[in-house]
Amino acid sequence: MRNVNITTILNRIGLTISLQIQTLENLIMSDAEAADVFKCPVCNGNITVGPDDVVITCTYCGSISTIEGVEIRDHLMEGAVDSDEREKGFRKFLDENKGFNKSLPVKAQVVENRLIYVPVWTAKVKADSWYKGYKTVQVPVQKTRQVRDSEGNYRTETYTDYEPGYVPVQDEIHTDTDERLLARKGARFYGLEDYMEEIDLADTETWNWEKIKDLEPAVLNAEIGSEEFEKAIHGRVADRHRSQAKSGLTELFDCRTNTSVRGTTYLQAPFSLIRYKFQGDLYKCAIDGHSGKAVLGEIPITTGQRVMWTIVGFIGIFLAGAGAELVYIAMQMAETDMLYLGGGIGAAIIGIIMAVFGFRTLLMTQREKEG
Amino acid sequence: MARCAFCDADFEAGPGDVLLVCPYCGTAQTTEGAKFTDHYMIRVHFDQSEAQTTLLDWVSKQLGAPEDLSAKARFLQYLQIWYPFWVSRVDAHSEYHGLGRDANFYDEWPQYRGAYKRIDFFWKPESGQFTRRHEIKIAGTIGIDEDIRQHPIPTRAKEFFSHAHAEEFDGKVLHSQLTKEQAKDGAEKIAFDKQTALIMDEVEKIESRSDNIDVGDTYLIHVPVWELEYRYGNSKYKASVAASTGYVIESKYPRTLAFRAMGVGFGILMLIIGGVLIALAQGLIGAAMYTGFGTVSGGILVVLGLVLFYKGVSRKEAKEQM
Repeated sequence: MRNVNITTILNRIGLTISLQIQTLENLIMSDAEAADVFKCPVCNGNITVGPDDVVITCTYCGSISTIEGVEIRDHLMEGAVDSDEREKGFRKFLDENKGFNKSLPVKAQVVENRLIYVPVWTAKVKADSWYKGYKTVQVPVQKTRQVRDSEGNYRTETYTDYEPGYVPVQDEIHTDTDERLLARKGARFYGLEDYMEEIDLADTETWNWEKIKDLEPAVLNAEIGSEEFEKAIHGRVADRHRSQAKSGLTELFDCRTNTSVRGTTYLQAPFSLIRYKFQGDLYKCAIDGHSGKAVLGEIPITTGQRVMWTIVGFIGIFLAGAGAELVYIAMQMAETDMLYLGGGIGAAIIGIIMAVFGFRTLLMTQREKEG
Repeated sequence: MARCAFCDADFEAGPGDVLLVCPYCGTAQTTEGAKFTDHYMIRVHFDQSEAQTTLLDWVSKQLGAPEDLSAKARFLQYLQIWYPFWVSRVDAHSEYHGLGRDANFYDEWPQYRGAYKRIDFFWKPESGQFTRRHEIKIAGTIGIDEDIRQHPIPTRAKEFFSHAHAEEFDGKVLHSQLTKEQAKDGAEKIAFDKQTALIMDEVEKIESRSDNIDVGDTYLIHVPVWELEYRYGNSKYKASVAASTGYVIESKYPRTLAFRAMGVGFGILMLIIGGVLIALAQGLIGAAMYTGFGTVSGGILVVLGLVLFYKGVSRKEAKEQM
């Protein structure tokens, strides 16, 4: 109660204080609450902020400033489309992935479709790595051996054997890539990583709150500053180079990476998570809020589809068996028939793939498709 | 029992609880009564009925879940538990001297230029340094469910802790069994291990190292989770749903008898057919016939039969992927 009185008195004598009173519980813990409100340096509006926010978007005038109260001017955003447009993109995605389930694009019922502006740091990262290691190869070696033919005579035969060869590798990797990082700590959204790959800096424009205000987006503030971003992105690119170097080698001895980061830009990117119901079950789909297109989504599998895939699976089992039988017959022949052998191996592989896919689909909860 | 140092109320506290949250005034405090201010929470966005609906809609799409689950499931228990987590920002700088592997190569293969017959490994000294900032999350209660412990703290903004908000949903705010100092020690150990992992990527053996690990801002955050239990048929099933995002952290769910019967039935049938085919192929029953066909088709059938049989008899737990 004491706080209320002080506030009233301050107001009465014409002093404004930067503490915005929202709910009663804010008043109870007064000292901790002071940092909860940030004063916009442009319009003087009082903005509620999270404790870790370092870059803040004003909910009144839309300007962006650092927590120290310095306005950031040259930052970007992607424009966004409205919820109808996003739903249209979503239904198109369903239509492309409906398979035999014709009713999916029509009967899917959207229960959540909200626009969120997520804070993203982007930069061009030039990285140069030097690495050293070795790989193992199979070296063909001609050898001779004594064999006994059907009449019991020994003769010398040459054959090809393989022995290991060790190839020293010293190479370099040079890349110059666009890197993005969500400016939130420990945060994850379904499909967000795929979405961030889709962001094209050519589609961006200067931050313009007026333009997107009517879409009523939730704007998330950044919790990671530019310095921390540049540190993190160095680590990420270096890790990627290391695993790329490692992939072709038996052992990687050494890998050193130098990076230079340029053109660091703060970007507000529109993202939307649609949750939808189909036949009473709940699914989700990540939408690029700029283009309205789906990025990643879950697709239901109907009973009919499961039955069909099971049939495919059984056909696969039969085909694999028939292929294997052909191979077996070919092997029994005095002169191996290459047509039998090749056809048999091909049929067996296709059959096994069909069997695996068929029964996997039967047992899957849902499919996941990229937009 | 403990007594709040701020509102004088008596409240429940277990023997292991060292950082207490008064259920009346919401003040976080040590057992000695010192106030703790770095205390945050994640706001609830899914109330009880929304969490329940989300859970059932999500669960009903799982394989073998009954069609009438949403209609017939009865909730027996709906507790909102606020789990405490300690989050520390750790700046770590490590310098190391160690031994890394390298090799000399001898005797080039004449038919394969660049490949050598012999390889001789040797150790060479390497040194370097790592500077990293780690964000480390430690559960404040011991024996917390693994899936809840691993679940990422949702992206929606954290706010200063408001007891009134937790009370709106009859939430039970758990006390922390770790003090800030213990949490910091834990964070330091985890950061040290992370630095070690980074170094071990570079060298095989560490000869000497010096670490400067600075555990910075450490705060307590309470994360709301709906702990639900529902009855379907004669059995009870437990589920955890994140109250801020509606994600199903984990849920046990029923499978229909029809599904189980089909799984077990088809599984056994396929096992038998597969077994017979293999036996015929390998000549275990009479003369060998259809050797290639029987071995491959029979083999696939046996594997699939086992999978189906397992699906039919297993009791299932599902987790929503983020």
